[in-house]
Amino acid sequence: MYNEFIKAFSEVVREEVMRKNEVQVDGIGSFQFKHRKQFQKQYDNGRVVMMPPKDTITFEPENNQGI
Amino acid sequence: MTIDKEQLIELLVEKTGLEHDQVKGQLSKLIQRIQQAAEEGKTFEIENFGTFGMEEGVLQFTPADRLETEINNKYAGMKPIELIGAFKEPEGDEIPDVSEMEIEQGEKAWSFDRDAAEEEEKQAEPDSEPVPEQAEIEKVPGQEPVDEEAQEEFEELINADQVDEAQPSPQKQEEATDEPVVAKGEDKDPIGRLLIAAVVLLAVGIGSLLMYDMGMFQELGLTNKESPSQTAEQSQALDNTDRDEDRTTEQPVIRSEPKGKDPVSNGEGAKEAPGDNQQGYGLEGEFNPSVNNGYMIVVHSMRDKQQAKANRQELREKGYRTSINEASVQGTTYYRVGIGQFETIEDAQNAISKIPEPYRSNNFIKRIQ
Repeated sequence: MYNEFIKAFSEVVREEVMRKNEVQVDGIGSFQFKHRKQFQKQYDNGRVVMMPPKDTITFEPENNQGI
Repeated sequence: MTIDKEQLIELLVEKTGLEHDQVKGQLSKLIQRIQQAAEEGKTFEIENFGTFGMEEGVLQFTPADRLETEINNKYAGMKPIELIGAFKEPEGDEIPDVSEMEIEQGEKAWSFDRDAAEEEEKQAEPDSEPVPEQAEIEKVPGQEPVDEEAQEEFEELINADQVDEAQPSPQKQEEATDEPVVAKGEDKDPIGRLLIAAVVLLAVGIGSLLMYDMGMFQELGLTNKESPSQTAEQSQALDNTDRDEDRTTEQPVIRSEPKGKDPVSNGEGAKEAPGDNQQGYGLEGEFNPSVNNGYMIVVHSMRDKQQAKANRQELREKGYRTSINEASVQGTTYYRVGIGQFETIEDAQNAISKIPEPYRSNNFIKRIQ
């Protein structure tokens, strides 16, 4: 049951973050959706590529968290 | 929107079917375990989700590859685009080099100038003599305003010296100001040509992109069909991030999946039967409309609905499970012909190796909406 719960937990977080919702987990921190825009990347040899945009999940630890 | 603790518990109750209190207990147990692991300096990993760990005294979370892919589902399959000829950045880099060269030239010119100045002083006919040399000297200062100022100052100094001996100083000053225009044109030429070449390349690149965009090549051969519009679409996707935000409004359809089988859908289903006819998923056969969750491999994407239907028919005759997905990109409707229905992105990726060219190398995976 515990494992199933963890699976459900990760799914809920995933789905909500995909919907651009911030998920606050008291005691740990919050998960957020972050969009990274496309950008030009240049290699040292002068090759230039356009990196595609990317959606990412970021984690913001709770402020009072720490040892 | 922010999901706070209460909402999170609600969602977990929905998902697991457990009692509210049970969920609450499980959640605090999970949180405690993560905190405990963190305090002991250990990492805490949740399969297919990510890893929690302490870094510099702060709890950090590293998403698992699977989670990252799922989150990035919208842009799955997008690869970096080579910007051939669009050498905007290198130009910026080259300029310092050139200016370094110029400085060198400038130094040469300076010493040359000094010689010339000395010669000037020695020679009795200042009228005719300085003109050609001056022309060369002035090239560089013409491009480098700072040098020019310095040059002028220097000339003033020279002139000051000359005033004592000879009269040509005002004349020379005039020459100095007149000459640069001609000299500059000559000197800048190679750099100018490079610039023009770069601009032409850029224009050609943009032009061809636009042509793809207009769908000009859609009437070409079958094999070419999907690539132009797809490329255009990709680049549009790149260009317009707003549109992506719009599209997310469509995403929540995922939610409507049956609650019962949901907790299982991710891990176990994939392990049991990757990509095969388990639970109505698969590459071949008839499209199963009851499966509204999952991924497809998009092999055609075009604006012409009839053409999309024709392509779909063609694929269907080959035995593939096909579907057409309408997507609005910057107000233009694209018809995406996808094959297969896959439970996970991994399954879809595995299936790509089974499909023939040209689809194998030219496709992207998309959530079926």
